[in-house]
Amino acid sequence: MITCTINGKKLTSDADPETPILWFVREHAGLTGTKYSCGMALCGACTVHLNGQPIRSCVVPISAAEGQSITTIEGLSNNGLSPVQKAWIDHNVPQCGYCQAGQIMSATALLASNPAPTDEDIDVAMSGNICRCGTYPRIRAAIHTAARNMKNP
Amino acid sequence: MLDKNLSRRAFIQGAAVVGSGLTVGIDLASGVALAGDAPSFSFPNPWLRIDAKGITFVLDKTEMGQGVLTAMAMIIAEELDVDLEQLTIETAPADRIYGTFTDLGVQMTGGSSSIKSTWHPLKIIGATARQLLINAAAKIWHVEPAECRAESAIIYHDVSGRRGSYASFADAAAQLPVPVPTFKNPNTYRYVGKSRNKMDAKAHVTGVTKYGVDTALDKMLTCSIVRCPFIGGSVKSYEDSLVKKSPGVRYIIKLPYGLAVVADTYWQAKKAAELLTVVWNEGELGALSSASIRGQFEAGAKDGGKKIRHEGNIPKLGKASKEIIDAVYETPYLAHATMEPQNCVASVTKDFCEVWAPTQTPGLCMEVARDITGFSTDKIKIHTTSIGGGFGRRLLADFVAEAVTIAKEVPAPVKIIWSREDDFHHDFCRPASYNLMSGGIDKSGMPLYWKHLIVSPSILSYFIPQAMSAMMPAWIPVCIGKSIGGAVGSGFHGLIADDTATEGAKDLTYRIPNIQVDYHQVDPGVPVGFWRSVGHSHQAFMVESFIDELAHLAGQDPYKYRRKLLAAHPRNLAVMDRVAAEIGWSRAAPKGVFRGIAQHSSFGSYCAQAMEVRVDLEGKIKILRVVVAFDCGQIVNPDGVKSQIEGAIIFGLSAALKGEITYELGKVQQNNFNDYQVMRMNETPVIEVHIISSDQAAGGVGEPGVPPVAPALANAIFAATGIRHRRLPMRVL
Repeated sequence: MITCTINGKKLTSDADPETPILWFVREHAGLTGTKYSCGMALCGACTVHLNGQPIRSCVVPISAAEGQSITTIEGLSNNGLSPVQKAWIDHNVPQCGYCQAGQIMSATALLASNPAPTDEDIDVAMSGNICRCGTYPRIRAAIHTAARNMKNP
Repeated sequence: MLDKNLSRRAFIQGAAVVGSGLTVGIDLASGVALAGDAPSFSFPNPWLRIDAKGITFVLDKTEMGQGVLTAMAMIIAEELDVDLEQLTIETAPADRIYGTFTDLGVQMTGGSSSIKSTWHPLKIIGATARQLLINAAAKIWHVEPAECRAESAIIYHDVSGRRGSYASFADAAAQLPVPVPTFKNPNTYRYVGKSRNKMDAKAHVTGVTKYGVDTALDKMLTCSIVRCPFIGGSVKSYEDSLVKKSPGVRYIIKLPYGLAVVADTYWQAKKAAELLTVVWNEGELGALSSASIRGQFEAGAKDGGKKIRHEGNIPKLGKASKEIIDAVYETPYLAHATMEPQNCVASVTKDFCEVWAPTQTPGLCMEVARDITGFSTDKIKIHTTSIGGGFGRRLLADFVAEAVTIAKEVPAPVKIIWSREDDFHHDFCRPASYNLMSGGIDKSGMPLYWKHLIVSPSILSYFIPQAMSAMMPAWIPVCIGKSIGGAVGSGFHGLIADDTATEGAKDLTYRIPNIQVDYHQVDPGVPVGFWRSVGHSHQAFMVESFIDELAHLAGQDPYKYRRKLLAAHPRNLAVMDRVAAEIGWSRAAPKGVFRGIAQHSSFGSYCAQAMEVRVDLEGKIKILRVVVAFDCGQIVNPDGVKSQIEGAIIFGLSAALKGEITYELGKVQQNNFNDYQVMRMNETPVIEVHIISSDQAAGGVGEPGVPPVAPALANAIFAATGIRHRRLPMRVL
């Protein structure tokens, strides 16, 4: 049996411990905001936080989350929108939107460790997240806006 | 096509069931007014429904990130005089009537056609509904309609102070004769022409949007498919005893080209599928390689091609020219690589079929389901979901056919999910092309002749057989539609030149006295399909690179050289002038920075791009800045247009610098994003988009930004290095 916390709720399951966190949250916890795209930690669409750290959930087994805390896009904000989500809307970032949960989870983790990232910091933190619609310029701008808003709420 | 039919169009409104509200649609098919059972499914082409539940806009297009949901809602809200927030958006079912609004007659979203084809009909529907509601209010209040006004879904009679909601007049409005609509004065527009964030943005950033792959149904099973890695190959034999014992596995279904493992969850299916041992038949293409494909193209080029555009007289002009260039240009097969891999959910019971598909062509999905189940269309329901990227891949319904085929064998709804590897191995690629270009200049340096032979497969010979049933009248049995489709499809082999291979080349905009564009269809057998901007995606590279070559041959500035040849094309000229002004073409670039320029018109829109690049000490190229000027005529949502162009630049750069599907021993060699790379954040240049406002008819937006990217970059690299890249991708990063 696996016991972990997802978005603040404790969950116990008899799922195969090798099940990647991606498929555990999608198929066992019913949270479909986290997306499958490559299955090899190459594109970042599946990014979630494990104890606050961004991970590629398609390659990390749920056994690694035993007793740990997972946060998905659905758990990013308890009330309304997080500053990052709000900046995403203000900059009209999403096109198809499929990669955006992963982008937002990566950006949120970046801002938690680096409240005022430079363009180079953004390149390093965000280059693991692919967007085929090409929203990168708006993602960059939204991260800078979110950083400003978090500093001066 | 649509405009000339406008006068024949008749409005239809329905209220056969008293109290069912007002439904407004437009009948393009017959031009005859029909009464419908509003708001039931039988109502032809309902786009707008007003009843006690509210104001519902029925979206017949697929939202795939291009912003069509927001833009179409803006047009309706504008003419209907409601707030955007007051509209409930409902996805249209698959229905033949919606096919009327596309060139092929199939309900689809593609060809950058959504706003182009719905701008007028939506305006008419919105304005007609508004007038009907006003007329109804006036009748009830015993006042003149002209004394009433509408605002935010409320009708006011200011003189008497009376007011009432649209919903309260909907039933009465449904009984009135249809008025001739009066459109709003564009100067009073609240929405059209003003930037608006996407209406689905909040759902996207909170993880709420349901894509096809997120479909969850009671008792649903999930399926992973082990596919033959050989293109066109099949299953010879297999051993599945270990699979059957694997946890969660329910069914193993043999398909001609693979085995479907159906389990309780995707992970169980995927893990079990790895335990399969399969021996494959290689099929007819087992020896196919990129080298052999190139050989076929070269051989085809030797035979010349069919005449596409001939003007003036080409023979002997080589000798008459002061200088000439002969060049071979090549572009590769390309994958779509949508972020959401292909997937579909299907449920087939003994008398009903339901499909949940992330599709650009609900009309085609319907025909595919009809073909496989044998059910009539009233026993089939297609649910179009949000889609995680289309780029043309989801115009094909192969994944729907697969899901319905498997669901027929399983007494529960089944979801199929392609792996990323499946997605690269079994795409319908953008066709490769091989081009012989020849050009000569006269004493003044201006082009004397232009000769272009295109050798490339035909997309339509793959698409038409699939789509034929959907284009036929509904009463034609599927098998007949398909056989006609097959005949038409095979007819493309050598008989009819396929526009999708020559577009962008045959409509060369430069004034050159002698032009010869020919096409030779060579089909190595690899499935091909539509890819964002289709033929323009490769042909703009040839045309805009080669005109640059001629400019340099003449020793002239590539921008000014183009200018002299574009007098007959003022909109092409205007975007080029704008982009040159914005990048500062007339001023020297900063030291070490080099510029390239290109322009191309496609899908009724005009796009010019100029790029600045730098070369580092190791010879690697850094793209510093991309400047774009874009004219798409009537604009609904300027920021939506801007974001599409930004995206097109990045999409185009991925193809120009990285994208290539190659083949060896009958297999695709690329597997995932490690060996089919795309642009990432750290490689993204500064992008500046300048939109030229225009009162011309609405052109396309989703695709026209892609074609100029590769040539603008190639021309900048030539300026920087003296190296002329005539083959994509340019691996220079």
